Amino acid sequence: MRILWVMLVLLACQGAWAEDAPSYAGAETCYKCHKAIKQSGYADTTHGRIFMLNASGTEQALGCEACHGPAATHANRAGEDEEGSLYINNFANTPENAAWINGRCLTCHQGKGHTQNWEASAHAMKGLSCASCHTMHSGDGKVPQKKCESCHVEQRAKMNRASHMPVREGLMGCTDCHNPHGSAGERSLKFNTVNDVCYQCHAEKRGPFLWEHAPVRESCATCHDPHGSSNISLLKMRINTMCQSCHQQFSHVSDLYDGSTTAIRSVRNTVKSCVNCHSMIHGSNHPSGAMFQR
Amino acid sequence: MKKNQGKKMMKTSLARMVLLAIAAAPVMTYAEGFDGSVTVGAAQASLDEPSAKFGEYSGVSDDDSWLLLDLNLMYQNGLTYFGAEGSGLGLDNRQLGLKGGRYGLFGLNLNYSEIPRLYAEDAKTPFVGELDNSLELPAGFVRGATTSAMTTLAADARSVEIATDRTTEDVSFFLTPNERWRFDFGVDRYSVTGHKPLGSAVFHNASVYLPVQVDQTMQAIRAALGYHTGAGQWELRYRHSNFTNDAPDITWKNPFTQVFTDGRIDLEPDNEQQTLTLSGALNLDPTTRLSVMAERSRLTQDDALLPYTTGTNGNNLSLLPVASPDAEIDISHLNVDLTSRPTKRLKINTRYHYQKTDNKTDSHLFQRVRTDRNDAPSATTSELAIYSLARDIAKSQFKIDADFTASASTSLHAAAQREIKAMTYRAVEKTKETTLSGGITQRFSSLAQVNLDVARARRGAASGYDDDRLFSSLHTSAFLSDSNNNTNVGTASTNMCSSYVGLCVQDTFENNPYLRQYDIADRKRDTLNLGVDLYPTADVVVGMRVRKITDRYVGGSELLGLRDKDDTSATLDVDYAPEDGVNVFGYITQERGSFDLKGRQFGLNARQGALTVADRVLGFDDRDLDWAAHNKDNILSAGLGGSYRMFGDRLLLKAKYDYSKSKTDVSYDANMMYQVTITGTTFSYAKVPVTVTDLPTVTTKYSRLELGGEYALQKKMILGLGVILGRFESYDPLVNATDTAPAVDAASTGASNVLSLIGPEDDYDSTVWYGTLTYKW
Repeated sequence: MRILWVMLVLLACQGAWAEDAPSYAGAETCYKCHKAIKQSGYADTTHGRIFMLNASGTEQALGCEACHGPAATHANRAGEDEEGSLYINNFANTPENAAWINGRCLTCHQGKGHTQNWEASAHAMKGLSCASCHTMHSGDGKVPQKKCESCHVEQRAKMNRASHMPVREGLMGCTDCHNPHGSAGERSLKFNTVNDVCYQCHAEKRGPFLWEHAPVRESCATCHDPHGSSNISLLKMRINTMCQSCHQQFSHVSDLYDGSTTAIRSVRNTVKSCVNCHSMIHGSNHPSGAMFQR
Repeated sequence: MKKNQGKKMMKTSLARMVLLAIAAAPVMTYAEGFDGSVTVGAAQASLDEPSAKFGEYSGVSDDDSWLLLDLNLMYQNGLTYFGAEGSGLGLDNRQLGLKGGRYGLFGLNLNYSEIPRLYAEDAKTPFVGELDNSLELPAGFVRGATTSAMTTLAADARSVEIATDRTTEDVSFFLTPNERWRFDFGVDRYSVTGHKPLGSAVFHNASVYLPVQVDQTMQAIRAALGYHTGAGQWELRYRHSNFTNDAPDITWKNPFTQVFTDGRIDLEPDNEQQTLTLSGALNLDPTTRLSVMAERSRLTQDDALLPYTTGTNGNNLSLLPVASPDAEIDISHLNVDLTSRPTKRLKINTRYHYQKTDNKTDSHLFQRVRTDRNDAPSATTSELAIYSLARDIAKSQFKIDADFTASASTSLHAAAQREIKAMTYRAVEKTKETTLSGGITQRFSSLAQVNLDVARARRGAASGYDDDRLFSSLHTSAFLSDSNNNTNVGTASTNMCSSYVGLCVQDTFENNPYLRQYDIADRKRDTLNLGVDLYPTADVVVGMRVRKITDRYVGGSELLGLRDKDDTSATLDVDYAPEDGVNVFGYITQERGSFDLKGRQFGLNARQGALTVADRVLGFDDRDLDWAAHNKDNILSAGLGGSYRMFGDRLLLKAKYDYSKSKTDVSYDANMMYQVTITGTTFSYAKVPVTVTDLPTVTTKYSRLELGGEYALQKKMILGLGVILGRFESYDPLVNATDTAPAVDAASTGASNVLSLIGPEDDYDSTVWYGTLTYKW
């Protein structure tokens, strides 16, 4: 009798163990219910192609279950109750789920150079997950500009200002300058400094010049707002104000340029104010160019 | 010549890429695994008047029609893929990319793009010829002391195109031979050609805008080798780029009668940059990650120098201390991030970043000549003879950031940062800034989320503020020890040092000693960010954001420069999607900014003319001459749009409206000013009470409304129609002054001593109709 009880307990345990062991259902089983995902072209995405056709390791070869985990129980219990989703890795983009989602994605993506600093990034520290921006089941993985603008509302507003880079024209995007996955540089820039980013398209400004303008070498953002401005040339202030914030030397530099007709028509105030004469303001290579006039 | 060759090469490359894409399309069309879309159509723009602002980045500045051609094609066969993506192919801002490769093994990308930049629709200049690096005035041109005196200006002014074309090509290749290794290689190149406006000094009271030729090229090559395992990763990256300016300088005939006849500007020199980066990361344990980056970059430039002046007495290269600057700047970066999750609820990141800009260029004494006059090099006792200074910057930053999940609905955030910046030849040797911040994110079930972040930063100089640091480094010892210096003063024999101990030139300044330059001034900064997201129903999202930054430049009420600065912005966002295929969104952002700039006039009055030495030396501290400018910015931005699908998704209607309006008001305070009267070459001055005039409100206004629809003629064929109504208006009294012409609209000016080239930005009212046919595979 005792032996019979032991056998019964062992059998029961075996049944329970069998139910808890990973059991895969296969992608075709998933598609039976998740038709929309199949129709959206998951198989043609980079994920779909690699997992189905060039899986590195047996896990990737599992297709849907490579990310979502063993789904047999989920498939078997689907429709039984609303808790069915608990039997599968759930990528619901909730704050408490963010770390888990990111960990799952980084299993493969952490080795890529552009995600190296993800863990230290502003987005990660704010509790965002990969699923906050990316959709995995369709498309090419690119994130539309609108996604960035949904949180960075001030930058969205600045894009519509009179002086702007060609972002609203669709010729540039946030990721031309920023790496949303974080970087070793400031403000998640793709390069280490603001200047390094600007030099990618404005190499003529990088010098080194015979006569360097100190704040220019330190940061283009000392004077410019790259996201847009109501002042010309993306300047943070009107030109004469900008210059007089740092320069009130002898001579005309400390004069008041107000709204009187004479001042407005002064060579030092009209058109581009100081830059009418000091036009090589980013640096000069002329032996007489210390004041950036030549 | 090189310009044409470069442009031809670019056009040829684009033509080849387009042909390749088009040739590949039919093959791919009938192949299994092909998908994508091609859109063909036409657009017609009509404007109330030609406007460079309308075509700023498209090249379309007047009534015009153009071909619309966009494509997004992809062919996949097993692991092999080939794709082509293009937009705006019928316009001057076309972009085209081709890609191909094998998933998991290698990939090749080719990208081509053009971006035009229009500066003016109706630029006018008296300069004749091809507008290359030598600008000539027409025969018989009457030069004058003012533009009004240039009596032939109106007749000689001609319309010229002031615009540039930027063309970019990029080819990149990557190989992942196995799971662990990755190799990247790429070359990229951009060229900018055309003309841009550039101001040029004539004398202290005149300036000329030149149509300057632009012919610049940047070429780069880059390579990277990466290795990773489950525990960590390493990457070694190298980039070399060189910039070439084929229009390195410009000479121009002076249309004014002042000082010189031939002007010359040295434009941006050729340069080179090399960067080597080593980065890596290690997962020290499942909850701790160390990420490191070290980079060394070298910038070099060694263009031959021009002579001091075009005038005969200084137009000799042998007068220069060196023939070329042999300039070199080495930039080093080190970044270390250590991220850890000591508990499931706590995440901490510590970051250390060090940056050093080491300018290794030799310093030389340059005996400058003001403008291109006939002068010989300035004497070493002159204030004009100054040393070229190699400025260094070193910055170290330490930051610790923590995020704590207190409960399922509450997260707390705190951070502390310390930044130390050391600089040479600036008024302070070192600044230190400490920033403390904290925040909370509170979720209220699934209905709402509130974020509140506050930060407080304090920046101060580690040493005293002393502009003498720059002054005494710039000037020669001969100048600094000459008690009778400052040659512009009529009373040159007066010994300032003995008369005004402590205020002689050995202890003087480049700037007013009361000025604090705003990027290094002592500052208190407080920041507040508040965000509220509401989800009242499953299909509505309402977001509210408020941001406020307050800067207070501290140190005493007598200080000059930027004083108080406040910026506030508030945004309301609404998104409504009641059902599949229906979406409505809108936002409004209101930004207000204000700052005060304090100044003290001690310029022209103190420098030249018949003032006493006491006036001149003590002028910097004459508080009768204080002035203040109060700036107020008010900017409203808004957007509204939506889309609606009907007839079983066959018809899509969409609308989008963007609006932005900015207003800047500047008011002034001042009691007394020195006023200067110029009669011929004689200056006279008087310190008189003044009534200042506020600046007329500066405005810009932009709006764009797009209404469009798409109708699926067949499952794969979609017809699109739409209209875009645009409007831009701007008013800036300083720029619009150039529109009150005595002679020629843009080339001449009401501000009689600026010979301008382009007038105010062009307002426009535009209508663009477009029709497209899209075929989808």
